[in-house]
Amino acid sequence: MSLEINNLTVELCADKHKHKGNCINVADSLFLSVNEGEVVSIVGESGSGKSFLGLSILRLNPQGVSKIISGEIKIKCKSQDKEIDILRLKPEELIGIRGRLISMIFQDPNTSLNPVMKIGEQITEAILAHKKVSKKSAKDTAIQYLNSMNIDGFARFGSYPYELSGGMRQRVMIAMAMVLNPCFLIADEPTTALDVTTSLQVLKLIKEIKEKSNIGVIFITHDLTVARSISDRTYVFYAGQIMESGNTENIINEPAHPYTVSLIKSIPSLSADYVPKQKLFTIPGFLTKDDFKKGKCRFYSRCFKRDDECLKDIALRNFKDLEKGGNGGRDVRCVKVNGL
Amino acid sequence: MEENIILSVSGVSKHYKYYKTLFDIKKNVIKAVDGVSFDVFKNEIFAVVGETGCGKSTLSKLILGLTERTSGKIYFKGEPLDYKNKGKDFRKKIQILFQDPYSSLNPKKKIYKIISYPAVRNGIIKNKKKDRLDFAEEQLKIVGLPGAVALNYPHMLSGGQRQRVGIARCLSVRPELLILDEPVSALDVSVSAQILNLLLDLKDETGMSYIFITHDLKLVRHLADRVCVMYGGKIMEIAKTDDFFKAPAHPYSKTLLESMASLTFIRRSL
Repeated sequence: MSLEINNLTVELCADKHKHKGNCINVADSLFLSVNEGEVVSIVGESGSGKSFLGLSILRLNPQGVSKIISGEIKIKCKSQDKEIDILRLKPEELIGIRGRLISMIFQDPNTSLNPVMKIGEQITEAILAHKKVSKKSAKDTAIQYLNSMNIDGFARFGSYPYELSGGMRQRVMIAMAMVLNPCFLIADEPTTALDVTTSLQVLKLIKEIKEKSNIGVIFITHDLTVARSISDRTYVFYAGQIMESGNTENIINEPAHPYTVSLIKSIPSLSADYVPKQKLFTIPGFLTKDDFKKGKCRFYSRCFKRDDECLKDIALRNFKDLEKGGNGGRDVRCVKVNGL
Repeated sequence: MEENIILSVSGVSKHYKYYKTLFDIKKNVIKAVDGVSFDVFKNEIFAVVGETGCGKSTLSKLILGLTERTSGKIYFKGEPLDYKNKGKDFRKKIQILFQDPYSSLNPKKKIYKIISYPAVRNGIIKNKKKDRLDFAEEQLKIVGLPGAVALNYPHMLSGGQRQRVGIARCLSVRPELLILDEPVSALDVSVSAQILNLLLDLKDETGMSYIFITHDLKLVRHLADRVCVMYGGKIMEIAKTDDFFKAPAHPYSKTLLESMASLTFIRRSL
């Protein structure tokens, strides 16, 4: 059981006529893999193409302005006997994938639930669309899943989204995603809109679900501390490329890529030896369209280690020295890092 | 000590009354803020921490006079805070920076109009285009933006730039107390570091005080001099930042700190 993305390139254009100058590669020859029972997080700034990658996996990327140019997304599930390449499927076949094999939790539970439908109906709708079961048994399943998300299913089945708190709504979203027993879950910033205490509950819940049903989770976030608390492996994402990948603990303790180093430095920490009120490290400038251009390191314009050597295209290379055991190799996309 | 107090809140409450059903005879009461008292000193960062719905935002509304308080008194530099008293110009002296830079700027107005409006309203500058433009460019320089931004519309700016415009708007009337309502929670990590640095610099330059409303304890540790923990409309604990992080006294503070800690460095407790 695994999900594997090989050499995925997705193009996004500013207009529908696809003038050449207006197009960028929001995902640029990506390699990514998730195994069963594993949480993999994708970390990066807003605008770096993290959510777009999540949508592209389900082929939910906006048609007309974006196009998957090359690559393959292979998925193997325990309920399916053979490997499926999502990018080769016909649009009508995708219905069998979305929600059933891979489901997704979206960022904002306030806008992604239908405000005029009862939450119970929204969950049973998902069951009835995929399975030939009676309404009664669909309702029973929905209540059972709500209960497993620590929501009183009987009492809350007929509630409208506005009657629930933010954390509860997010748990309803998770229930809706899990109700068809998918083998992969894409969580697109599920805790960003929530409080510290409620986001901890949601993270715990996702971890519990992962352990109970042994699914693979792709966790998209911009917060390295959240990534650290939940994920086994991390991909650091910038301008449509993976800058660094490897074991989460290793990446946070010994970041190699200048971008990862800057990201970690710019977070105030809670550790005991931290000096408050010092100047925080900042990354100058911001992510622009030009950063997506080919031919040079994409982080070049904001990097503190840059020089002329960086003006050529850099491939993701295996990083030998720092990896101490753990699963999978450590990859870094930087010429300035020693030990490559 | 007395002279150093810039804002003194004593026993302030806000109770919302509502009918549960249409035919209810008795009104039900929600105590959004219930008997809250604290002092804010000059040139201090006073953090208010708590989860959603604990009354942080209602408290800031009460200080700004945006909702009327049920009971209690607020003093600004020893004088009772009354926004109807035109002579005292309290509106000028207390300003707020909002959480979401995407919805707090009027999308139909150019940046220079947004920034200079409070100054025009308070009679600092004349309502002429040239005056307003010059004033806005000056303000933009303080927050580290090029003057040319003044003629742009909000949608042309990034999130961090918009938040800087928000800060420039607050500073345009030279406030003495600034309420920061989750100023960086809608921003990226690297951008939020820029904004936090800017806020610290401005505090040192102008001698303002901040009331910093947040639910992120990392930021509290980084910025605040004193912390106030709120829960269910009541204050649970007020402590100096160092003491609070070393030994939180109230059980709720402990839970809050633990849930934060497991998100940062104690990985296995999740």
